[in-house]
Amino acid sequence: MVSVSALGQAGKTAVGRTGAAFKENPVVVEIQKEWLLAAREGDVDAFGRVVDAFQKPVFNLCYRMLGNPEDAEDAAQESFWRAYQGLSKYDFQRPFGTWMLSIAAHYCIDRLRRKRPILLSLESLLPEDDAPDETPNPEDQTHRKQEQEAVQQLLSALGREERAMIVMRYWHDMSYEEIARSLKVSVGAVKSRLHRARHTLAERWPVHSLSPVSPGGGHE
Amino acid sequence: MNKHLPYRDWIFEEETLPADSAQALRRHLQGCPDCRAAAEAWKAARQSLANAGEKSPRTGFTARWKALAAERIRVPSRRPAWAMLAVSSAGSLVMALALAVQTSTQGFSLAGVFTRDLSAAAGALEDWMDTTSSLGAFLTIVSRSIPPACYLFAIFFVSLIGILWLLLFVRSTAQGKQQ
Repeated sequence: MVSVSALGQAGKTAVGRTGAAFKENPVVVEIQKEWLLAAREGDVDAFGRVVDAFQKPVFNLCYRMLGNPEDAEDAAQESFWRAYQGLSKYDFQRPFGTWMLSIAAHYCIDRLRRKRPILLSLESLLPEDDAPDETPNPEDQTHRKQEQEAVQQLLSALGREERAMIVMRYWHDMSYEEIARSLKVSVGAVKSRLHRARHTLAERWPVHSLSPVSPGGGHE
Repeated sequence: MNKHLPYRDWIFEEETLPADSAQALRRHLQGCPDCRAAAEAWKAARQSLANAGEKSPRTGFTARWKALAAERIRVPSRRPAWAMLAVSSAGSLVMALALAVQTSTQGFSLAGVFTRDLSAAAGALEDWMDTTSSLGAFLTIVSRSIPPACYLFAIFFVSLIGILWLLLFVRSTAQGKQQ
């Protein structure tokens, strides 16, 4: 039996910022398989460990898609519930991270389809109590908040699927193939839509940038 | 011809360009302020995405999820039971109406059901061979070819499902209250 601390460590390794996050090393896969197999049998606590390990990437995807922490929390919770319920359909050959993000992305896309999102974060108006504060300098904090807002503004210029693709690509380092599989589109479609999305982001950048890069001439 | 092509596409390309294309793009960017602005804007936008980092949920996310899961396991969603009940009731009603129409026009006795069904089915098949395939005619034939016995069976079956779902719903609600 693997100790609790070892599980925790493995979980943290599994949710790193880079693409390696979902290209698990064998130890992580072994441990997660244990959790998943137990969860498949109805063990909520076992799936709780999976939730613990993947909460950050899933929440981040939901936040980037929906634009505010309240909706992101709801969407992430619901995505984990759907994953828990759909564990019998999970293919163990596939990285769990991409499968999980796929569920979250589909849920967010459906949610955006049903209603128009609130794209400006409420966090910019409310004090942040629980989020870890890594920048004690108030100026830095303000700058970071403004930058986060600018990023959300940028993302809001994109369509639902394009936004999901950008988040998967640039936050979670997913390959074209993984994105295609997750969103059930062709690799060609992913490439062309990401290309278009990059174009849109560049077009929007000078408008929403807080400290726009002076390009030596306006770009229209 | 657009003088920015193919350079504008290359700016947003992720794959590494071949050396000669890269050289051509470099030359174009030196002489084209628009494309240079696009390249720098994309670079800055990409940098802002990279700087944004991963957003974390509030502390206690897993505990909240477990509470949600426990609640949903304890009190299963009521919608499926009511939905099934509504669908089965509506299905029964439609079947009953169809049966009423059919028996009122043809007369009905349990003994004659099967012999009449056979001849009705044969007649319907014959009609189908002769009739042009318009949707209305097709539906008429289909409705005529379904024997009353099938309607009776379907009503019984659908009602049974409805009753079963209702019983399960009542039981799960009672269990939820006990807990």
